[in-house]
Amino acid sequence: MNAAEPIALVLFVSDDSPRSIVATANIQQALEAGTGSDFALEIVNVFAEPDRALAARVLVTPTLLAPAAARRLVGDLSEHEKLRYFLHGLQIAEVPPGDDPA
Amino acid sequence: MMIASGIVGLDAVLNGGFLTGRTTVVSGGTGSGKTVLASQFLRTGAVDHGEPGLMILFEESPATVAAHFPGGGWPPAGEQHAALHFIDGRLPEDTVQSGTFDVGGLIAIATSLAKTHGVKRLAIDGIDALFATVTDLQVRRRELTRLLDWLAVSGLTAVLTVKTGVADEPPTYFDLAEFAADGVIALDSTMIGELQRRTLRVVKMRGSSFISGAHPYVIGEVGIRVLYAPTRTRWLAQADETRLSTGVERLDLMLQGGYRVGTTTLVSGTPGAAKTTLAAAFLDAGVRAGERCLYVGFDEPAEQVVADAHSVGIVLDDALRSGLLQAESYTAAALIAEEHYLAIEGLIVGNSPSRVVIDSASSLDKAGGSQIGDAIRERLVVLMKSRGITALFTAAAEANMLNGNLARARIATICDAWIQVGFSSEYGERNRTLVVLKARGTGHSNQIRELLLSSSGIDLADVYTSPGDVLSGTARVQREQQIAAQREIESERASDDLAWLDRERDKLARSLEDMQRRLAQMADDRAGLLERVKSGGKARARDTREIRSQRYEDPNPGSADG
Repeated sequence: MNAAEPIALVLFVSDDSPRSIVATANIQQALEAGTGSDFALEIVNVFAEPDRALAARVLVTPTLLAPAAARRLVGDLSEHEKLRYFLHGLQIAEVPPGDDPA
Repeated sequence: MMIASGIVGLDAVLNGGFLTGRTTVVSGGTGSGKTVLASQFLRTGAVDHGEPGLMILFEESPATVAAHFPGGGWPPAGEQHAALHFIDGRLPEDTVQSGTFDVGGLIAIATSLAKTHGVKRLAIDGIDALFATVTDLQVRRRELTRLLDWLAVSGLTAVLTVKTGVADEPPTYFDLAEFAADGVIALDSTMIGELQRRTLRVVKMRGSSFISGAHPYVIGEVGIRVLYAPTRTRWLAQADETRLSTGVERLDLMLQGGYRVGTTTLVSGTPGAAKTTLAAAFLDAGVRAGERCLYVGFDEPAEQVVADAHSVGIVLDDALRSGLLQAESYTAAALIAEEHYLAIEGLIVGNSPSRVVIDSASSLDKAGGSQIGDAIRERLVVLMKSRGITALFTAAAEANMLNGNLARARIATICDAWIQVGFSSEYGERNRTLVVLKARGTGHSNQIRELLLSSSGIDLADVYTSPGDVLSGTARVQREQQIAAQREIESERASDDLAWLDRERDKLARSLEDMQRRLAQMADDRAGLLERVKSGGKARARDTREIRSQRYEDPNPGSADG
């Protein structure tokens, strides 16, 4: 299931707020465990690049965006199943058997 | 420092407008006009003050809101204006949530736009929708606090709307926002019968005086309009001795020339007693003098009223065609009295009439009852006074407001003059009568006159009231009761007027006291200043001598006093 181009992921964060740090750690952890397609994660600080936040209509942080698939996940990504399902939907991660997304 | 809200009436209620550089929370239920209010705030800034604005929408799309912007949509056609920026804050439908989030993006974007586009006014509409998915109350409060803290230092004047009355939300959800914000305005709505009545209440406006209480408002094409009545004292300054003909020669004589210009006269009576006929005569006299006239009727087409007046030789058709007379009719029960008020105000502002007839003013009770009706009649009287309009209000004697004793009815107190028409039955005859019950600032006859209507016009005739008059049986008893009732009404009228006079006297006495105090203070200040001017350098020389003498001759400086 390898794609030629790596799948772009953008995580919008607010400076180094606690939730931003948690979200960054969570996504990195999930991606390290992933066995699917190639990906490229970019972290954007909305206070440093407000124009990108505006263009992507990111009013809440953290927001994880998959621009190509037009999908977004908001929050500090602490609900790991939801994060895994999100990544699975992008064919980046496998879904653990028996898990049921809420 | 205040910033215009752009909402008719609200700036007066707020004593200038919103607090500059601060946040006002506007709370209300669905359809209460929160978005409209926020839009008017931005529109006024952009169109009237050249201030760019930013609107962040959490409930509706920017396209929808812009299309329904007050004043015919945004951008306004043919008007110079600064830019308004719209941001769609709604989370896309397929957004998934994992863990809690903050409003960092909103703050980053708004900060950036404020800097690059010079945004002065910010409206955040429906922030509660953003938090709808957040179940943790702590998180909601934390993020609201974050937002309000940022707003407090942003320098932007902001309006933050929140929805109240959502069934599944704890009622105290936005207490924090209301507590932390500098200004809070609540939009309330109640049902009166089948009609909705909206009121606006300023809960707080930190460091500013505002007029408390529930102010009725309506939502129309130009947005929200708040009914605000100036205080009573203002309309006492309008007194003028000029008289306007009543259209009935003998009535003019009874009233020392006619109705006083700029006053409102009440004509009350039972159905068929010729209230509308007297109103038509009043309009006829106005039209003949070339004055612009307005007739506002309820539940009867104005054309019918004009046609009916033909029977007493009054022809208003030409004036109606030329526009010198404007006549409009409304269904009284179809709108709440406050909306009728705004319609009438619109006619008056648009046409600037010098004579206005409201026929009947008592119909305003049909939707909403006499309490709202009274308030609106009072506002109408104030409106007439403030524009120097001479007005005639008719009132039906059978209407709710006139139950019991008319002398106690509010309308009789607020009108400057009061004419009652009715019928008297004697010797198998039923005759129309007219009596002037009250006419402020006018000497008038207390006698009952017979009102004569014929195709050649309206006239008044004397009736026998002398003690020598022979009346017997029922007619005598009736006369005695009539006289007793008349005395009762007069006594109540006198006590009403007495109470009013006493209040005015006390008010004047208070301001006189205040002025005398200030005058005395001024005299003191003046004497002191004069003394200082006169003594000048002399004083300095003396002071030096005194200091020297104290220093050398009195070792204790404390005893040098006096």
